[in-house]
Parts: sequence; structure tokens; C-alpha cells
Amino acid sequence: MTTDVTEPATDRPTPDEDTTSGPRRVAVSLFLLLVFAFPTVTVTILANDVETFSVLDEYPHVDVLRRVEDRSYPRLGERILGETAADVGCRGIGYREVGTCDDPPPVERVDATGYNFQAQQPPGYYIPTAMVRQVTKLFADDFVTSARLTGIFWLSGGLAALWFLLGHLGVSLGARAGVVALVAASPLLLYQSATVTNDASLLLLGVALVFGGSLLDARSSWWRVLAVGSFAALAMLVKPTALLAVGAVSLAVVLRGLHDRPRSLRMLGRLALVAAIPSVFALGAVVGWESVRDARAVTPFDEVFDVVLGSAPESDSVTLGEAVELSGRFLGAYSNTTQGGALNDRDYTSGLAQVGFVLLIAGPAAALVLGGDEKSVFGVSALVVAVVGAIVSVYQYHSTYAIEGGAPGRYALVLIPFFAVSLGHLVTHRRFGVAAITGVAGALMAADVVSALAF
Amino acid sequence: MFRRFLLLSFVAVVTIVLPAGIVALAVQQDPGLSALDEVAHLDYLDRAGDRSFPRMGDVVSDEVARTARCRSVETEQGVACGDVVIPDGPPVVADGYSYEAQHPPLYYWISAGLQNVTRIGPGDNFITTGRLTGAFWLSGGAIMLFLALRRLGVTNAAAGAVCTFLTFSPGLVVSASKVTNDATSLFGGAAILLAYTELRRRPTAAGIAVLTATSIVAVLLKPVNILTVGAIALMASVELLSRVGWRRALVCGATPAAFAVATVVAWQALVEAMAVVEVDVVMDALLGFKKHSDGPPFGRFFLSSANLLAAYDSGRSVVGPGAAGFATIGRVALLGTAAAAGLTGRRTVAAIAGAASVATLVVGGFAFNVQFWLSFGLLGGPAPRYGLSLLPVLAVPMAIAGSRSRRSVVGLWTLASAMGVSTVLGVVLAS
Repeated sequence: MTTDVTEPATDRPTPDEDTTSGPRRVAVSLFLLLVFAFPTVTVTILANDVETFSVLDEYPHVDVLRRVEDRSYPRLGERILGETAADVGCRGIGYREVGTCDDPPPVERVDATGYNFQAQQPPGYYIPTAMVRQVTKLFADDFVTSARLTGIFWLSGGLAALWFLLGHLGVSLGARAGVVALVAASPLLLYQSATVTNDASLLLLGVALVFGGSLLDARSSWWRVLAVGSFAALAMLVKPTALLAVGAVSLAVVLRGLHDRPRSLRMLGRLALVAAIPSVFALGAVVGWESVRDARAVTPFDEVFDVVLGSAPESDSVTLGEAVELSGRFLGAYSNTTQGGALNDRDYTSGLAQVGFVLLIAGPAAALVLGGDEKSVFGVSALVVAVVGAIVSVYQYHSTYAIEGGAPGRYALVLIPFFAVSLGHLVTHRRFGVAAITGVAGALMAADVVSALAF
Repeated sequence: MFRRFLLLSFVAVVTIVLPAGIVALAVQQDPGLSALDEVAHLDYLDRAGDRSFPRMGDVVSDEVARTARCRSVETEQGVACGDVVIPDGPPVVADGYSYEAQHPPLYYWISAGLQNVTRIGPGDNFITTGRLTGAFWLSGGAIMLFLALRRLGVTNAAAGAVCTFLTFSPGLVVSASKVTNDATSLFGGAAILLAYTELRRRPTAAGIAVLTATSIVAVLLKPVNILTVGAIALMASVELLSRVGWRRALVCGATPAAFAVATVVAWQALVEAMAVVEVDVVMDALLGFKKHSDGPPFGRFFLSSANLLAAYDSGRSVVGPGAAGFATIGRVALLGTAAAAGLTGRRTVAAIAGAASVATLVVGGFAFNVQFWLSFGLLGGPAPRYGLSLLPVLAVPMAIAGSRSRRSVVGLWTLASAMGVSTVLGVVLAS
């Protein structure tokens, strides 16, 4: 049953906003502004003004990209290239200097004895990024800056896809613009898009997975199910942590199917199978890639990560209390401004981003507690996966790396489109709601630009 | 008859047994002194017991300082009070000033009276009996919240779930289990909400008078309760607009707000007039080390605009990091349901309460930061606990929506139970 807080609007305006030329011009203008102008301006400022490498492993990602452009791919245990070490010398890592431009460090003196530990990542992000860099290098003198500018492609691509997805799902123009603005304004999303890292792909992957999930139900043809499953597997070859989103897709398909009340046990079984296939395919892809990675390694995974994580707090065991303490970690992905970067310590963005996050998760939170209609299933699934995933990640990090703390909150950036879809449905044709999210998004976008310029 | 008995038992459990139980458990499990100014609050309570109150510039009495040090010794070293010579150390903070003299005496006078009741129980010393008065404040708040929600059309089951959900908020548990006027947060907020339910029934001069009087009492319990007065004033102005016209709606909202502001300003003037040492000197002794020497960086004011959003899970000291971390889910659920209702922009009480409470928390965070800068030269904004009195208004959308179906009530009780279990386990395990 629909509850008061998530009840759909009944006061829908009648004009067909997408067929008249005036609103169409407005739509095109908003699209260009939010999807292209804002990401281009902010990512360009950040890519140029942030001198240092991000502490979130940017230099090994740069190194992987260099090798991909040379038609090769690093193996675990190989060390970074001399050119990358020279970049580290010139730029430093975070606020830490490692050599200088004139006296670059030997490869072995760079962190983790120079291991390129991002050789653990599959190539799905680096290959398209290398191709796009052939364009962005026309606008930047050095490799790192031009590589960072490829983030415009990933961010604009994700926002454009989100715009069309919301339209496809019947969200009104005003609501679409407000939601896309709110997503675009996420400080962490912007920062990751201006950094060379496969996290930059998370928004686009999340949108694509929501779209895939929206195509599935108990009556879907097996070809369609296999196509979505295959796409989920491909997404893992771009960024394996997008597995969180695949889990949310599977849960959303189940929840939506249950809303339709399957009439027979056979239909229920079919629904379960349809929902499971994307997750099974994605898990298969992750395991498959890990096998390839380990087979190619010149030094075993454990040995490399013993060195990489040498200074991280070791974990002998994990208590439920420790895991539960971090249960809200993934919920901070949208508003995180303190993950080692340009928007770090920036006063303007932090508070506004938390307000933006409250608006973003409003619909799903209400639906999760109080019950909602089938339009809220993506947001609800993402909330559940975020909380459960954060707890599970504490145990997974303990078993894989033997360290405390679990996965970083930024991995949940892939869930933002799930929340965005629910928010779109919540505020569609509601003037007050659209005005509220647009106001907060506008203020946060301005704060993002001020923060980026102040760096 | 039997159904009535069952209902009364249910109401008694959710409004008296659970709040009093969690406070008693927290007091028993966490004997250490709170870093949140508890010594100064204890001194105020001690004086209130003698039908007096401190003035700015008075110092914490030797007896209280000694009791406080004894409590620390007992906690940290496991040595019983009375068996050791209590060291004469320097005063705990702020050069020994009893700086909570900045607050009105109402909470302390009432709590001193309640100590005559808590003294009957197993608590055998001044600190424990003082802390146990928090059970009355939390229970009183839960009772008024229950009544307010019922008057808004919320079912017994949903109202009980919301009372339980808020009772186990780490922020409220910490406040109610220490000697501090933050203990009045739920009481003050729920009282204002209850008075508002009367005003929306009868938007007459009598209704305005009831809300105004309640607002004055609430800010005399703790001046930051003015946030809830602000949210309710906003609600009254918007909700009553279509019923009574803009003039009367404005009067309904502005009168309580104006009197509450006047009360706070008058009290501040009184504090300064009665001070034996200049207020600035006392506050400098307390907060000087936090002072920001540069000019006011405008951006920092924005930094704190979200501080108050974390009110629900604002306590870690008593419930421990695990339960506090888990309570993030409670915070998200509470804020999410309020924001979702508000974003619909409808003219229902749920939507208006949601929009007004979230907006007040955000604007309040910003405004407090500006005020702290202007008054004390401090940056960083308010502590999240300053938003605790808004929890009852924030929970209105959740309660109303929770009354609509069996699924909603089950969802509410699942959330409330999860928070209850987590907080109880946290209190037990954190000690």
C-alpha cells in the first residue's frame, strides 16, 4: 500500500512539456548546462589546479593507462614505469613529497616499493580512457592532466545517461533537471571524475545497471535476461566494486516482482532465476578476472598486498560490533568531501552536500521503513545493499587483506543512480519538491566551483 | 475493559518503562563523568537543591569538585570513594567557573525536586540521583509525544513505535543519563508539539496563549529548544494559512516565536546583570582555546549547516561506537521520511512538519555558527545534540505514514526494535 509520504502526485499539470518548442528549448538548455557545461568546467579546473596525485592510488592508475596506450597491461608484481615515478617526483602524493622534479625517486622508493598494485584491476576502464585521451591530449600539455580530463567523458556520459533514463521512466522535465543537478553536484563524484581512477566510471555503470534492471521481470525473455546478465559481467571488467549495484539490481527485480504478486510457484521460481542471473554472471566475471590476474602475476597477490597494506591496521578478528559500527559508511558516498583530494577541507561543500544527500535518499528511506510502490524499489534495494554491503565488506577486507575498516565509502558512488531514480519519481510534477532539490543542488554546484577555484 | 487495560499497559511500557529502563541502565553502566560540562551542571543542581542558583563568575563548590574527582578516581582506578585521599588538583575546566550559570534555573530546580524521588531508589549519591532524574524527563517527553501524535490522528501502534524509536536514540539516551539540561530535549520538543496540536484544533487566542506559554517554558528549560519553537511557528503559519487567513496564521506562528526570543534575550540580560565576573571573562576561560583568531571565513558558516542533522545518533560516550554507528540507519530513516514528506509540497500536517523540521535543522546549524562566531569568536557550529528537541516534529511524518497500513506499522516497529536492541547492547557492552 502506498503511504502518505510517497504518494504520487495527483495535481499533474496538463501541458505536454516535451512536444512544444518552448519547453524543448528549455530542456535542451538545461541538458547542455547540467550534463556538459558544469562537468566540463569543474573537471577542467580540478584537473589543472590540483597539482598532487590523489592519495587514492592515482599514480598506479596513471601507470596502467600508460601501459595500455603502449598496447600492454601490467602484471601483479611489476613495478611502475620510470615516467610514472618521474611524475610522482614532480607532483607528490597528496600533501607528501616523494623526491622532486629535478631529482625524481627511483621506482623502488615510491610507495609499496614501486609495485603497480592497480594491476589487480581489469582493463575495462583503461581502454576507453586511453582512446578518449587521444582527444583530451589536444587540450593539455602533460599526460596526467590530459588523462584526468577524460573524466569529463565519464561524468558527462553518466549524467546524460541518467537524464535519458529518468525521461524513459516518465520523470517530468523539471524533476529530471533537479535530480541530475543534485547528482552532478556531489563533491566526491566530481573529485573522482577529475582523478585518474576507475571510480570515475561508477556513475555511468550505475545508470546502465538500473536501466538493465528496469528491463527485467518474471516474464522477460531469456535473451533479454542473458543480455542484462552479460552487461553486468562486462561492468565488472570496468570496476569490480560495481558488484554492489548488481546486487541492488537483483534485489530490485525481486521486490518489483513481488509487488506484482506472482500467481504460481513456477512464476516465483522464474522471478528468482531472472533476478539471480545478473549477480551470478557478475560474480563469475569477478572470479574469472581474479583467476586471470593471478595466473599472469609475477609476484603472488598476497605478497604484493602485504607490502601495499603494510602500514594499515592489521585485523586479527572482526567482531559484529566493529562491523555494525561501519554500517552507515556507504551512505556517505555522495557527501564525502574528505577523501584525500581537491575538495578536501573545503568549507562550503561539506554541509550542503550532507543536506543534498538527505534529499537524495528521502524517498527510498521512507519506502524502506513504511512501504512504497514499485517505483521506489531501486532506491530501497540500494539502501539495503549499502547497509548490508558495508557490514559484509568489513569481513571481506579482513579475510582478503587482513586489515580493519572494510571498503571505502566511495565504492557506493555506483548506487547514486538508484537513489536518483527514486527521487525523480518522488518529485515528478511537484513544484515545491523540484524547487527544493534545485535550490540545494544549485547552492552545492556553486560551492563546488568556489572550492575548486580556491584550491 | 480488558482491551482498555491492555492499551494502558502498552502505553505505560512505551512511555514509562522503556524510557526509565534505558536511563537506569545507562546510569548504572556508565558512572564516568560526561565531558559535556557535567561538573558545571552538577554544581548548578547542587545549588538548586538549596533553592539557589549560580551567577556567572561563581566557582564550582569544593564539595562538587571533590565529588567529581572522587567519581573519576572511582571510575578510572577502581578505588572506592572515601578510602583514599582525594587529590587537590586544579579545577576541571574553565578555571573552575560554574559556567552553566548562563542557563536558566528551571531544569535544575525541577530536577532538584525530582531528586527527592530518585533518592528513594538504590542510587545513593548526589551524582547518581541527579542523573536518574533523566528518567522523568525522558518519560515525560515520551508521554507528551504519544499524546501529541494521537491528537494528530496517529494510531496507538504507530505512536508507540515512534516513541520507542526516539527513546532509544543515542543522542537522547546520553542526554537523559547525565546531569545536563539537554535531558529536557524530548520533553521540551514534545511539549511544544502537543501545544501546537491544541492550536491547530482551536486557532483562537486561547490556543495561541497555550503554545506561547509552552514555548516560554521550553526555552527556560534549555534555550536551544528555541529551534523547535521556530519549526512549529513555521508550521503554524503554513498549515493554518488556508483555514484562518494569512493574518491570523502569521499571528499564530509569530506570537510564540516572538515571546520565546524575548525570553531568551531577557534571560541573557539577566545573566549579565547578575554576573559577579564579566560573562566574556568566564566564557573566555571556557572556550578561549577554541577561539579563531583570523577573520570570519564565510565558507565555514556553511560547514556546520548539516551539524544538527546528526542529532538522532549524536551520542557515542554511553552507547559506544557500534550502536552509534548503527544508529546512522535510524538517522537516515528519520530524516528521509521527513524530507520525503516535505518534498511532496502538500498542505498536510505530515508534509509541513517534514519540510519545516528539516529546513529548521539546516538553517539552525548555519545560524548557530554565525551566532557562536559573533558571541564567542568560535567556528565549527553547534553540537548535533542541539537539534535533539526537534526530533518529535521530525518524527511526525514517520508516525502519520506509519498509521496507514499494517505493513507501515510493522516497518516502524522493526526499525524501533532494531534501534532498541542496538542501543541496549551498546550501553551494556560499552561499559
